[in-house]
Amino acid sequence: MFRSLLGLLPCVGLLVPLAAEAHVIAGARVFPVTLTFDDPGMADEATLPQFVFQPGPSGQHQYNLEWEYDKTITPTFGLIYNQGWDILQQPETKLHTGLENIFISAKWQFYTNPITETVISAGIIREFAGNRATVNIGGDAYGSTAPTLYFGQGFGDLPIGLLRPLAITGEFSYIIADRRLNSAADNNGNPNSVAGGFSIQYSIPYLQSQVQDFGFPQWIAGMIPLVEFTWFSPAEAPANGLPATLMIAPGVIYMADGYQIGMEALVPGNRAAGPHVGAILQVHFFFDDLFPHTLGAPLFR
Amino acid sequence: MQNQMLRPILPMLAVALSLTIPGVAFAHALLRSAEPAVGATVKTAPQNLTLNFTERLEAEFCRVEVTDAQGARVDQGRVQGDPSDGKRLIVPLKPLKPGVYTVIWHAVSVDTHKTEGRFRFTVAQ
Repeated sequence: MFRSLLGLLPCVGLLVPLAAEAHVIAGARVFPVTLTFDDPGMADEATLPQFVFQPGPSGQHQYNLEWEYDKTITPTFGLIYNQGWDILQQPETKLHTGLENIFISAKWQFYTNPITETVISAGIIREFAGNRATVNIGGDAYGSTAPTLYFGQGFGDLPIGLLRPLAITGEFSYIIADRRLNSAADNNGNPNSVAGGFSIQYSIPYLQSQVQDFGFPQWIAGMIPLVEFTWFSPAEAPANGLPATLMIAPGVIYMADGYQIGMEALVPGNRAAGPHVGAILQVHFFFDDLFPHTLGAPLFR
Repeated sequence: MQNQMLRPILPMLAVALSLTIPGVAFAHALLRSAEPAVGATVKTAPQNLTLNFTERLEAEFCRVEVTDAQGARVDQGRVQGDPSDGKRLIVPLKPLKPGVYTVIWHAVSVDTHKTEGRFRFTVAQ
């Protein structure tokens, strides 16, 4: 997503894709919207907005304002639109701003088991190459297509009650570049790549409603502490200065009726992911709850 | 040529359709609280189990089973809605002895979306 930043910023941590996505329910398990990668379900909802701050080396900073809209076509299939507006700030250099490339995903939630709290989806993520302004702020000059698998698994069957609120979610993509990078490294192409995300979550709403009601006040009872991991790696040579990156994002999501608010730190997991800790803040609305008869309903049943 | 002209209009049509089609709602009824409380130990055997949800319910389509440690049903086999609170279910119980009881609920919200869950409570000796 941000590969052309290499020419502007020697901060390959910016390569980590950051996209906010949808939530899903399986039985009593609510999978919240993870902040740094997609979650396993398909629903009518929107991220309005998501802020990302990523400090780079030597006073270089990146600020992202991102948004997303998820629309179900049928109850289990839909389309997702992601985009953002970025600011690149460097000392003694003109500020660079511009729209990110547009991402459109088609996603099918093909397996949901409320008893085992399991959700699996498959999708295709299409990156549409941007204009000159997009490239100026790090967008790819060429697009890509990424077959993607998503999963979510709750652990409500664990024999130890206090562990039952645990859940994991994940995403794995193989990114096929429209224009392959060649050994000359000056053709603006990209190598085919792998990217993924993984989260481990502890749902206090689940604890309260399924295991033990501790009588927490609502602002605690709605919280889901979690840690997200995202990684990106070229799948084949030549990588030409595109090392594997790992980002770790510990934080918390507050679930309310109709919306959620999430906040996480962005901690570089390896040297290539950057030198400093960033932050991400997201406000997300569930249209299926807020507008169940209009925007929140699938087009076809 | 016609297809090219239609292309930018299709997303707008999709949004317009979503606003006009009488849709099926997908708000989910999740358990907010219960009496006896989830995981609680009570000194006095309750005569009813009360479940409070986050959404209004179709009580006649909701199911609640309460079983004892041996798996025997201790509810009276019916689920009542609360006329004064559409988000509440009341489950009459048989006389309970001291022990651990399991509640399994299946809820259907007014917009037909299904959720389910389970929890335990204990009646003290």
